[in-house]
Amino acid sequence: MPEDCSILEQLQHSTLGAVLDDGHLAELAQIVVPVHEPNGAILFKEGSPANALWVVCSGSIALDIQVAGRGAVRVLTLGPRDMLGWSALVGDGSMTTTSTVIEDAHLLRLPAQQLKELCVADHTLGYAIMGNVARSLANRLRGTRLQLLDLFAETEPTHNQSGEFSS
Amino acid sequence: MTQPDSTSSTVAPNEEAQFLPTDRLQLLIDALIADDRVVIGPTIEQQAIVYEEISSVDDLPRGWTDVQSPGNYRLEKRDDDTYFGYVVGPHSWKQFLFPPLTVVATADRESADTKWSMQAPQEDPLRYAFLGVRACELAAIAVQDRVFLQGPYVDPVYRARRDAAFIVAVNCTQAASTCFCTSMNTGPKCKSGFDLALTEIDGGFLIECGSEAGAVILKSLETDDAGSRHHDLAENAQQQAVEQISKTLDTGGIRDLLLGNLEHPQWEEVANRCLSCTNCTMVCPTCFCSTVTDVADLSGDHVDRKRQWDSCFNIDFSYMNGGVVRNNVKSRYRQWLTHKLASWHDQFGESGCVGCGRCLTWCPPGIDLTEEVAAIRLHDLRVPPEGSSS
Amino acid sequence: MSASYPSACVSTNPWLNHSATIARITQETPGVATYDLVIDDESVSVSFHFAPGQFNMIYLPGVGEVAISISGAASSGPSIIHTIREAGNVTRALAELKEGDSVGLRGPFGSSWPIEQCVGKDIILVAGGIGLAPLRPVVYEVLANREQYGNVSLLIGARTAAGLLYGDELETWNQSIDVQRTVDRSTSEWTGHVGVVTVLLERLPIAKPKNTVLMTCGPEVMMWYSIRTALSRGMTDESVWLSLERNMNCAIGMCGHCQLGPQFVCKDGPVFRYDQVASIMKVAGL
Repeated sequence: MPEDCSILEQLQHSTLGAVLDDGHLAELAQIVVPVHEPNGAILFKEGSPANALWVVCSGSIALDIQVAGRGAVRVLTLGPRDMLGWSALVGDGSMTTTSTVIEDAHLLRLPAQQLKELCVADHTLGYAIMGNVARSLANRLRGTRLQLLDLFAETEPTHNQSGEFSS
Repeated sequence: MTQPDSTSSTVAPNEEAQFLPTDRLQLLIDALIADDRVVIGPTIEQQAIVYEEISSVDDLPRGWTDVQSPGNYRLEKRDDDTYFGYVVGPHSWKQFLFPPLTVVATADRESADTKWSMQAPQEDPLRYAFLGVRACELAAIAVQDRVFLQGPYVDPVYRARRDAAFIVAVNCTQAASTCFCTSMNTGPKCKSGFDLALTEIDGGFLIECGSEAGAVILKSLETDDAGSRHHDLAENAQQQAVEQISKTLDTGGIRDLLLGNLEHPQWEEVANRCLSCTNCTMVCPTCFCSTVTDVADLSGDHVDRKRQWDSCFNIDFSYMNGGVVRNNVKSRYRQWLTHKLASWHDQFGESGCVGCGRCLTWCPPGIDLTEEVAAIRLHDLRVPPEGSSS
Repeated sequence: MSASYPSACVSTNPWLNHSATIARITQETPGVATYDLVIDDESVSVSFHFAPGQFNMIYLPGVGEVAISISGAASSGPSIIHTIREAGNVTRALAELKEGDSVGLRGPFGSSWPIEQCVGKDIILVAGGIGLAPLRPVVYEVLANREQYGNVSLLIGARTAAGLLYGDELETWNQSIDVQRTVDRSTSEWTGHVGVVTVLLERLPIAKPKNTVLMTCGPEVMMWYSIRTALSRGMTDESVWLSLERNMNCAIGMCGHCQLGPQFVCKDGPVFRYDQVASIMKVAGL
């Protein structure tokens, strides 16, 4: 979505703002901070306090997890319309991944505290937001399961320690 | 859709039915042998009536009958000496048209460094005469004609044998408790698909002619024109078969019934009894599953592509990509029954079952497919239970 | 509704293999190579025509046959192209052969992708792993007649970057169609998308879902979810096509192995319109 689209339009097209009515979108727009991050910028680090939700308007964001012995393992890339930072609303308080911009990105940042206050004050907004977060996570779960099923495993023999092919 | 270019076609209307006295039955066999044919007929072997090469009426199971029920087959002496006073045994005619083991192609090379030459097998087609083909078996042959001859591809092995086969049908004069041809509209009367059809009556046989080839053989026999007495006796004998049929299969909407109940608990229930032993598929006259494998000789320079009967009940029949798709008896039984009674309609425009009852008789635990279908029909899961709000 | 038979196999005896020479072998990714086969008998070679989506049986005497989708352009001259991964006895034996060696070939068999129905429409191709091979003929057809089709997107998924096929053709393809690739598992050298290919489909703008055709090939689970996503985006049962796989032995609908419900995957498929198989795809052990 080009950056001259209004915040409202960008919210409306995102998974966070889908099916929200105009009034609710306007409430959200009040707390939104548009952000532009260049290639290579780190939005948040794994383990840091979860204090914001983001909506991607353009560009590409990578999510990595640190695995001892393997370094940073990339588990997912996100693009326009996706939300990130769900941990701020439904997590345990800290981010589960490190988020890196891999293609110049325009995002909308929503501070978690203010978002939560909006939801508490207006339960219909809260219900709609939580529904969208749940749907986004359901999608994410489906995708993760497919990754877990390793459907292409037999296509690509994996090297074992001695360097021989096994499949 | 091509018709098999065989000797068996519909009744030649110009031929009058003939009467052949009992003591001249051998002449029919002789005439077929003289016509350079291998005559296959019923004979008793290992306490069953099977189909083997015969040359004499003495080979026939004269004076014997079969008593059948699910999981049971016994021969019993009759109190008369009729030649064809039985129904069907574990053999069907499919083993001659669709052999259990046959070479479909060969590959040869002069040495490991030269190219392979791939050929169709060169063999003189066997000229069979089948003596004693029942109505349900005529129907089964027609069903297999559809599979091997009338689709987008023709099997040359089946075609060669089928084109050359001479069929002497025999009208049933009794029925086993396992027979349900009437439910499948395949019998007991032989209506078409034969060269000659016999009905055994007092003193001899009424012979109807079904084709030009049949007429040729018939002319070479010493027969009399059949009189009305012969026709009446034949009709009575055939009617006896109809009246003895006690088993039925309700085929109403059966295709949708079975394909609409793929998750029915009855499949689990029958799986507790089914041994997945493949008996039913071997004795079934329409089952056609097979597997082709490469068999090389010791030199490695000659290879036969051998086609062998297989069965959807075999565990690795559906093996694919490191796993078996039908990994339990339930899914394999369901495959067999839904294919036979339902999917066959989609694939070939007719039922795959001819009501011969063999799969009941030769099933060790005595599974009766007419009862399995009835059980599903009784609790059809496509219909909401009565009393539920809609 | 069964598929038409776009071109029948070249022999009257459907069991007969034709001798073919391996003209070229191209190693694609570990365990996957592309074989260019030329039928030795010129009269047979000249009469061999296939439609995208169809397959051949490749034969190694003494070992056996294997069903392989044709992955070249329909107009590629005498070379019949197959991208093959090592999976079983026959393909492993094939991997031992060299350029100049001979194999047997019979075909083509099966139903084909509905390219002629896509004229004037947008096309989405979703390919997973080796599933890109049977879709490549569609890409070639689109490239050869680009103006006949609307927006064309090719979404490719693989396990890792090492499993992505035809990488060197990508630049050419990208000039005419939108190609996006993603991997399930990232490696340090991969800087592209990570995630399942269905995610790319979820994000893809679909301007006219009622005027879009989707064709997919890959693991059944992947195809299933791609189709669900397509339907949720407004496409219909009749505009989604997939290529299924079952145990193939005879390829001519006579051995019974490849049945899926009433369908023979070798002759009613392997390409099916979704509505033909929707009710049976998810029945366990069918």
